[in-house]
Amino acid sequence: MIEFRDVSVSYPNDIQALRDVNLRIEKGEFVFIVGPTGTGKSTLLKLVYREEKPTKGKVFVAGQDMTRLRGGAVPRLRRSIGVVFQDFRLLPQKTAWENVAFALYVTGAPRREIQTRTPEVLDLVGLLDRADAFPHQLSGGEQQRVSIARALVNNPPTLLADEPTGNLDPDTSWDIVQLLARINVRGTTVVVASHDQHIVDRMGKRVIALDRGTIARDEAKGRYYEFANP
Amino acid sequence: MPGTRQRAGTMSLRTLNYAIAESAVGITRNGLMSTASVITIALSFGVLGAFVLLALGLNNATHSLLKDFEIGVFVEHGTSAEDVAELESKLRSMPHAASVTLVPRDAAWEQMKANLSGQVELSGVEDNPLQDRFRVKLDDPRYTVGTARAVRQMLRVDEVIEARGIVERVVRIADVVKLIGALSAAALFLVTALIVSNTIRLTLHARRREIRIMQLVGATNWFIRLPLVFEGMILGAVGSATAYLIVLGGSHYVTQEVTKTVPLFGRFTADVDPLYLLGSMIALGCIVGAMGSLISIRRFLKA
Repeated sequence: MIEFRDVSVSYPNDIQALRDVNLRIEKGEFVFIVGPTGTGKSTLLKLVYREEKPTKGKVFVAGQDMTRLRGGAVPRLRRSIGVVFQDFRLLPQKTAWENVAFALYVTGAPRREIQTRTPEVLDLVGLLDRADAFPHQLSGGEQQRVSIARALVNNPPTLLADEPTGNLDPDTSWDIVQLLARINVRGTTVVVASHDQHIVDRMGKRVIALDRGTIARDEAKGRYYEFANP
Repeated sequence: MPGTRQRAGTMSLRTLNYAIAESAVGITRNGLMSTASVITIALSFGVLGAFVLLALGLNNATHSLLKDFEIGVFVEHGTSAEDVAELESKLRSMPHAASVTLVPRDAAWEQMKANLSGQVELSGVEDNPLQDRFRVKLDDPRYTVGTARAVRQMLRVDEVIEARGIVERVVRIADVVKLIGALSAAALFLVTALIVSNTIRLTLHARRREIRIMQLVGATNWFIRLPLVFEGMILGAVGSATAYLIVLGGSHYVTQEVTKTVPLFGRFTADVDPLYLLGSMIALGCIVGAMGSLISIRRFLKA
């Protein structure tokens, strides 16, 4: 469960990224955050994984007040939230397997668990046969699959994706979103920031539209634009 | 459950293992930066090492000069053998007396006659004009003046001769040399630590992406720090060992070449156990490497 109460984020140079945002995302939901670039989608996600703190208001994740979370508790929070980025953010000097296993090492998981869990998630994203490849040897779609596997390996209740298809061609994008939907069906809350109109419209999921830092729309089976084609 | 998995006790050993393996991987996969760090550390430590050796050598030289100083104690004419023996035991029991040697007047007279024969006609002198004399060496020449003053108060002592002015001057020089040496070594150490930490910061800068990703997947700060600290230690140790070879080889060469022309130069060489030097330099390299890493990482861990 994610909850925003009157959240505003402003930066020193008087730029307001978010303004009085109120929203609630229930456990197991699949939500798109849409809107043009620079409208606060990334900031909204960053508040959830405590990369940023609100200037005003409160953010709750699984009942925890993010504004009161001590710095030392952040690593534990991050393990309960998988994050996927447009630029994949894989460790370039580690293989696909090592990149995924790394997120387990970090939690101090026993070797046996790493040995079973890593192939499990690699299989889930359909990349088991490419486990020994380095990121530069993989296509964009494959790299994003590795990063999704890494985000899932700790079995987090929440998965956040910031423009996960921004660097991918339409077909690959569709595959990735399908994968995210499959993960959602298994019970994980999925929040996707996207400005891919085609995908958002085809999925028919809940859509939260941001416009210059405020919520313009929040619809259960929404589309990218309010009207078919403005 | 991800939240309950981590228990401090079971985690630490695994993390340590991981950190060691990871630091080795880090060094080999960042070969160029690692090499650059090692060279920087080797050069800075080389300069530091050479300077310390020089300071130790100077210190050694002043000490060996001072060791030669002694106090001459002349016994009154006509003192009986018992009284001389008594005086000798009194001198020996002085707090800083390292050695007390009696030079009997007869032996000294014979010696003098032998030395001066053919130059000065001494055959006319029937009576031995010399006095019994003690040569007193101190364990520390600093106490020369005080000791001489005490000896003057003793019974049967006629005169005491000590190279007062010279000793004090040399002691003062030795102290200044020691102070300058210690200060410059400290300054050089600081500079070395700065250079090393700067180099490590560059290495880390190249890896800041990696550090950010570690933070994103929920690595604790210590989990990120540990391999990097080990890396710093290893690079520091390798660099200082290299510096050791340079300094030792260099000082050996210089000593040999200079001693050929200036035989007294031997006095100016530091007398250090090479294994001790190697050990302390590697330890210092580890400390500087670890500190440098710790200090530099701080910047990158602040999100």
